[in-house]
Amino acid sequence: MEHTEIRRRLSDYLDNVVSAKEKSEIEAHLATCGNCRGALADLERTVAHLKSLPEVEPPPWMTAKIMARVKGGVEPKPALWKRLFFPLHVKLPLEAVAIVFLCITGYYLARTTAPQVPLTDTPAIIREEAPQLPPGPPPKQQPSAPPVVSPPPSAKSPVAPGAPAVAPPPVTERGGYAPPPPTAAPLPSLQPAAPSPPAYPVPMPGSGQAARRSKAEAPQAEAMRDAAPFRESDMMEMRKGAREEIKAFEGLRQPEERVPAAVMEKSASPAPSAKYRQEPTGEGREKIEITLLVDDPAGAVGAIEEAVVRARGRIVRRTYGATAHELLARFEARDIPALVARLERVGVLRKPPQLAARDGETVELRISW
Amino acid sequence: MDDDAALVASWRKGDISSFEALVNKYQKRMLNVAFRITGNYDDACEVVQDVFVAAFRKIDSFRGESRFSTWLTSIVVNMSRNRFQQIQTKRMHEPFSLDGISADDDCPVHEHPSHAPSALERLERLDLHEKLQGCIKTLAAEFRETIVLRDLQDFSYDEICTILKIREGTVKSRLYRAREMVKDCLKRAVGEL
Repeated sequence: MEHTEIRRRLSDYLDNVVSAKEKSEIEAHLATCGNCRGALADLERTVAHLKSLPEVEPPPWMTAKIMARVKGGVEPKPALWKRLFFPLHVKLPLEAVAIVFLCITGYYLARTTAPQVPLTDTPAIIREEAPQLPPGPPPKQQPSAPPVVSPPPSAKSPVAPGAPAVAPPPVTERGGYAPPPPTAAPLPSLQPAAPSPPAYPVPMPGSGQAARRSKAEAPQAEAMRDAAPFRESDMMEMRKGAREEIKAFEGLRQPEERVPAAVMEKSASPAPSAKYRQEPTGEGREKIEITLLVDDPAGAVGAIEEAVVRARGRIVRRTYGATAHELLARFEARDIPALVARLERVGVLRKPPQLAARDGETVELRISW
Repeated sequence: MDDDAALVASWRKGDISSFEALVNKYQKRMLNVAFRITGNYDDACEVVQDVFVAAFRKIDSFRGESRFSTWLTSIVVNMSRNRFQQIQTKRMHEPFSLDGISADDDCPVHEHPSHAPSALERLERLDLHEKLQGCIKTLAAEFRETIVLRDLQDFSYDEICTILKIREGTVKSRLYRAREMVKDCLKRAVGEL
């Protein structure tokens, strides 16, 4: 062994915890090395001094106190603050780490569980939309005969008499109502309108033949009104909008034309070829049918509608087929002669209409060509 | 064979007098171990009380694989180490003493009346013992524990390995270095050994 290794093993040699081989090597070295012998001597004296340290005696109350604590089971617990913070070098770092962990966990939980505030905009302002008429059945495309169906009470469109002369609106539904151009009249309001004066004078109850006929058909009309309350409300609203249209066409009012008296007279005995028919109206209006012979039925549509509009009529329904066409419009009785005059420029009247209504009364005119 | 096995067995069965007998048998040795490690008599007394109370509560953890004294000493060493660290931490915040090793650290030593030394010899021996205790206190914990168990309490290397839970080679190394440091410290304190 090396000299330093020998010195390192002197403590083991002193306690006799070396192997036999190591012991012989150490002893052989000690025999030749004075320094190692001196180190060993110092070590022996140090250990001797250590072993000479006297023992301390326990206090006489030690056993009793121990037994008292054991039997009583009451341990002198240290103060709370001591238990929390002592030993400082152990508990303070642990508590600091625990606090940091709790803060991070709480922050993470708050972030993940917070209610998501929707970033959507405030609800859009609810706009009032124009009421839409209930859709009717699809228009019949039969080329043979025009549909002979009385228009429903709801199919009464306020068409401005002074509407611009544009292409005839397409036949969309049974009611045949097409909204007027935006510049012509505003959209009707959604709010239930108070009963406003109609755009056209309603026959006074009890006046004229129409009123007498209406009395006979009052129950039927009443049933129809009850069955279709929605249609009457729409009609009221459209009347309100029609009022605006009437005002817009005040300036276009044509001077009343004197209608030949022959036209206004009632026909006592209608000609066999005339297609003239007076039907009692359930609403008190007189219904007149006019048949017009034209060379080009499709091409005459625009002219006939223009004649109706210029005569201050209100188109209620259009029924245009392949070869035959029908137009339902309402007029004031005093405007019928003007209409007849215009229609005679378009085609040939089979039979002049026999008007029974008086001035101020509304007449429902069915023009077919 | 462990001579204390019977007392321990009786104690496990609920015979508290057996426990008291073990207390009487080992309290002095445990006190000296605690005293030499902590360097303070009062602290050592408190440590011993805590050790026996802890041993009473944790007797079920003693499996009997080692001697009862070894098991008890391991508890004393751990508690004494903790107490010494508390004392050191407390002293770090106290004003520095220019007196070095204070006389309060050592208790009145009760010497064995083996012979009647002279007053000078007692004074010299007392002075040596105080300086020796001072040198032991300057050692690091692991060296202090090793030298106390081996040179002061005569535990074997195997028992020291069990108490400190280290290998025999570590025990030898620590013991060598501890003895060297005490020798050097003592030479500086008293001159020649």
